[in-house]
Amino acid sequence: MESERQRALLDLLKEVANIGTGFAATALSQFINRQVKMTVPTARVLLPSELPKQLGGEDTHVAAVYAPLNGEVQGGIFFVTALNEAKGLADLLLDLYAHGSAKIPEDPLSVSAFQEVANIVIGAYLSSLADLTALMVAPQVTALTFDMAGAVLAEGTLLMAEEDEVILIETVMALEGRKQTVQGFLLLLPDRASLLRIEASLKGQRDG
Amino acid sequence: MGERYTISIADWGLARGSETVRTCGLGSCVGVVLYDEERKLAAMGHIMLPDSTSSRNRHPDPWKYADTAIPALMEKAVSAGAISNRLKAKLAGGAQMFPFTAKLELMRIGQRNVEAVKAALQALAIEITGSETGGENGRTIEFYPATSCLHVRTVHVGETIL
Repeated sequence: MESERQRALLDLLKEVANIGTGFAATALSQFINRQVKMTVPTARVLLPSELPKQLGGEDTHVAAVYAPLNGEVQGGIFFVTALNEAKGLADLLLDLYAHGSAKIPEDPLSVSAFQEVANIVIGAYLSSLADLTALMVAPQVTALTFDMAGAVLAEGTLLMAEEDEVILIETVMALEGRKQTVQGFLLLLPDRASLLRIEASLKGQRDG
Repeated sequence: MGERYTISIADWGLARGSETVRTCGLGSCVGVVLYDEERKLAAMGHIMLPDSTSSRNRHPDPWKYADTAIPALMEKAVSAGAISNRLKAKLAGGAQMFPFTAKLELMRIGQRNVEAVKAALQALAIEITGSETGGENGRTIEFYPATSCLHVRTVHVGETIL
């Protein structure tokens, strides 16, 4: 389904994500004082209706943080994980306090820890996107929700209802001394005009 | 227990007798069922947006929009054997998943979807016999033509039957 042009853009966006997750990993490592590694195994273009399947189906229970985007990139960005993975992420932070396993959504501290990780990941990706495109990217205040994948994602992709496609960037986080890795997804939802601006700018930087 | 059909977003499906039709993870979308109690027949749609005339697409997908999906759903039910003036409706959905966006007109989409669905049903003189809309929870719904019951399940609240 991906055209050559889309693949070229995805390669560029994956590079943005690699650099962004590098920032995020450094920030998280400093935050919890243990080494966190983050990798970006895939970047894909999907139909909005295909999104929930990536998370296990429409009624899979997920944790999602959403930031509307303003400035030269309009639309929104999601950081979303299956609920178990969100608990894993909160554990990464709360481990310091020997807190036991995170309880999401019951325990406010666990929830806040998850949102903080999501904010860091989203912030790092957007900084990297802004740096590499020289576009103004202005995230609005993030919002957090725990619910069914279909319900959560439909709302974020509504602005895209006419745009047909969304960009999915998979991130995997690993903590030093832990076998288990945590998988999360960044969903970038630029409107069509913004996507064209990103593409033009990234190509210009690469070719110039 | 008969077949269980699952429809996705901007999609529709039929169920009769002991069959059921369901859709998962309704957020701001609205799930609508038109049913003929005597024929034990139901058609369900999963609607995303209120108004097809706001589409920038010259040939908008009719199942995406309330104003076009409701008449289309009625046509499907009738051609499957339902009697049009016996059709009744149940609906669920139209939630606001991210409350902070409620201020923005564009994002009050859940509420606007519910209003548009109700207006489209009224235009066809279809009575609404049950609804659970609004709030901040996603819903999974399943309709049982055998009992004319719509089962509504949310992650946080549990199941209610309309």
